[in-house]
Amino acid sequence: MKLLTQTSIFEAMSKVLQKQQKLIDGIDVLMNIEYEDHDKTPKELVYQEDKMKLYRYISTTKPKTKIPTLVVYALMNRSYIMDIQRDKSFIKKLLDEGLDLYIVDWGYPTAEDRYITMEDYIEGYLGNAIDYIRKTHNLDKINIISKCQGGTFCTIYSALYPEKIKNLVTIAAPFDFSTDDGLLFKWAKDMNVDGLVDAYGIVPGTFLNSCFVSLKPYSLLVDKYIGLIDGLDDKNFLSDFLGMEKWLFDSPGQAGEAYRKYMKDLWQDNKLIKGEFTLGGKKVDLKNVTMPLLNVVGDKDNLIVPAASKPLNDAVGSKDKELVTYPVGHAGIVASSRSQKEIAPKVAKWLLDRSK
Amino acid sequence: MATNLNMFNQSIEAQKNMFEVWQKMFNPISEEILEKNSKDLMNYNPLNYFKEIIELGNKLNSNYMGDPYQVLKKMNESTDAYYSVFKIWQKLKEDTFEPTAEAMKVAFEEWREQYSEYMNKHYIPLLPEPMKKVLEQSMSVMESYRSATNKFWEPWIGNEKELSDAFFRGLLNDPSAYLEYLKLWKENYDNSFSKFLNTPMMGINRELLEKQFDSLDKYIRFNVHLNEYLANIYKLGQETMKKTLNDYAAMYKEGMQPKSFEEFYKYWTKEINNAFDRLFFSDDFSKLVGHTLDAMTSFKIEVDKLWEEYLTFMPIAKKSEMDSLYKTVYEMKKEIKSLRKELDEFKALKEVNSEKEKSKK
Repeated sequence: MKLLTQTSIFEAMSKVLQKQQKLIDGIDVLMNIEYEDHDKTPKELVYQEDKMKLYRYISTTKPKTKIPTLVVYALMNRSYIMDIQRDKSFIKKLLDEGLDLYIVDWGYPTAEDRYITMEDYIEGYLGNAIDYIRKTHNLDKINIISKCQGGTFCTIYSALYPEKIKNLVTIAAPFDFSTDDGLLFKWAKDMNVDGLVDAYGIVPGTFLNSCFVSLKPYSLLVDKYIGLIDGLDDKNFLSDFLGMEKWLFDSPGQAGEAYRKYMKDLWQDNKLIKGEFTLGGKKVDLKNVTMPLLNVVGDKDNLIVPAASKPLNDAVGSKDKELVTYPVGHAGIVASSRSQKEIAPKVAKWLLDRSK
Repeated sequence: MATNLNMFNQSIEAQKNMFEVWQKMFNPISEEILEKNSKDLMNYNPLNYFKEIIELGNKLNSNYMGDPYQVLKKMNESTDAYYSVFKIWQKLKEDTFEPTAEAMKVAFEEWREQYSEYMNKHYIPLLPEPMKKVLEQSMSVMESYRSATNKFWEPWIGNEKELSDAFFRGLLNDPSAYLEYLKLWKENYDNSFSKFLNTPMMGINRELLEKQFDSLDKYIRFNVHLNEYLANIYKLGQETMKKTLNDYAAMYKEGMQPKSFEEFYKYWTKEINNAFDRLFFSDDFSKLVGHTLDAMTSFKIEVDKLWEEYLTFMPIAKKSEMDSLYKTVYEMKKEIKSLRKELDEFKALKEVNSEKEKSKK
């Protein structure tokens, strides 16, 4: 017994020493690594309004449809997560599958943007980007792929202007905020949104980051970096890790007035799914979403939990609607090997089948 | 210290002293003095301290952006935490170690000291500089105000003993007692200092004094909430380790204990994550997060007002003035966009009409 115990302690010590050695060796690798491998798919700026930019991707594959697709990401993170690393780029995969893609870049709001409202974002910037594409292609309707908060925005737009949207794809987007499954949903209900907006004007991105890491403090602040030691000598692993790390903490601030309404009307009062939400004086009725809908949900998503995403399918008026779930998290749904092999091809095929 | 029960004199003396101190601290500094002793004065001026706190919200959770150097630093910090868990496992694996209650207590105490150190070294440093200062200094603020309880109004004297006991028992060694202390502190504060700070002021500096006291009141409330938040995290860490050790003892008897350090670490990580989930998903904690955030933003709003008051005579635009300008620009831009849209529609209509005219001809 004594010998066995001593042996296991020595084994453990040896493993700790190995980790220390990896840590020392890894310093050199870390200091010389290339990790900014994102946003590399070529694209051109085609329209700009204030800080919002609309890009069109330049594809090497001939589009299989004449109906273009607009990709809309959340205001809270940068959309390049969808074009992160060549072999995991969701955008590249969609292009290869034959879609003609545009993407909205919301930019980083500064002090002068504090009065921008949800109406400005949805009916203004988003609406104008959609109109630009419609006009450019001489089409009445275009396709939408939307992620997270972008999904909520695009669904609201689709309910107000169904005549402009051919097909709607929502990915990891929240619609029913009454759930307590996710910490963000629980904590948001006890939050004084007015105080936060009044104090800052532009709600700092670092505030949002601190909320995100607080969801799993030990895992996200400590354990993640311990696990990293094992892969320190693997350049690819490190590059992936650092790319994701950069994206995680690259959170734009939030224009105060838009954030106020978004948090109070949706996260606290859950008005959208209850049919009580209004935008610019207009009532938003989800039953007006009548175009084909594909709702993609990550079963392991702890930010936008499935319980917040799934109810959309029952709330819309679409006859052609589909809910698909994958065992992935909030980032993995667009930036993982599974998203490459399964999710992007599924989204592309679903759109192409309905864009003839 | 002998207890002085002359309440009236104490009360008058305390108010006088406090008033004088705060008057001195916040009086605008003359240019002469500034020139003469600018460096020292700036160091002394509490507004410098407030300035750092203002940055708090902007830098919440530090300026960490995940670049390689920062990642390396985090890895080093994390390995310390990892090592502290290893140390306790090593203790459990010592050949002479038997999981008796006494031995477990000793092992826990050793880990507790490391955990406190870990929290101080690695949790608090994750916070931005201003917040770190708030945390470090809030302890001394607490201590200062605890001392003041010996001299101040009746509500403090009523339970001063419990307060002192809870404070010294508590702090980081016994977070439950510390939470108890905070609760008492908050009640007493509401009944004494807070009332004093919110008393209507008189005289030519009335508005300025009210803003100063209001910001101080908000600052203290923010500290109390922040301390309560952190004490909960400390408490969680200690309770989890106690539970882990008890469970380990039970498993040891069955011969089912984790056999390697990796297993033990995995087991401990799972326990601490579950414990965080239990705490974070509780209604009380959610409310505490809300109150802490509310206290922070209320404080910031008050300090911003105070800053603007001080900057009134400076030749610079204030934030509220800039906000007003931003609002005007926003509304003008919106109007221009709307007019441009109308103009485009008119142009399109004109073109259609002109085409029609042409085809008629």
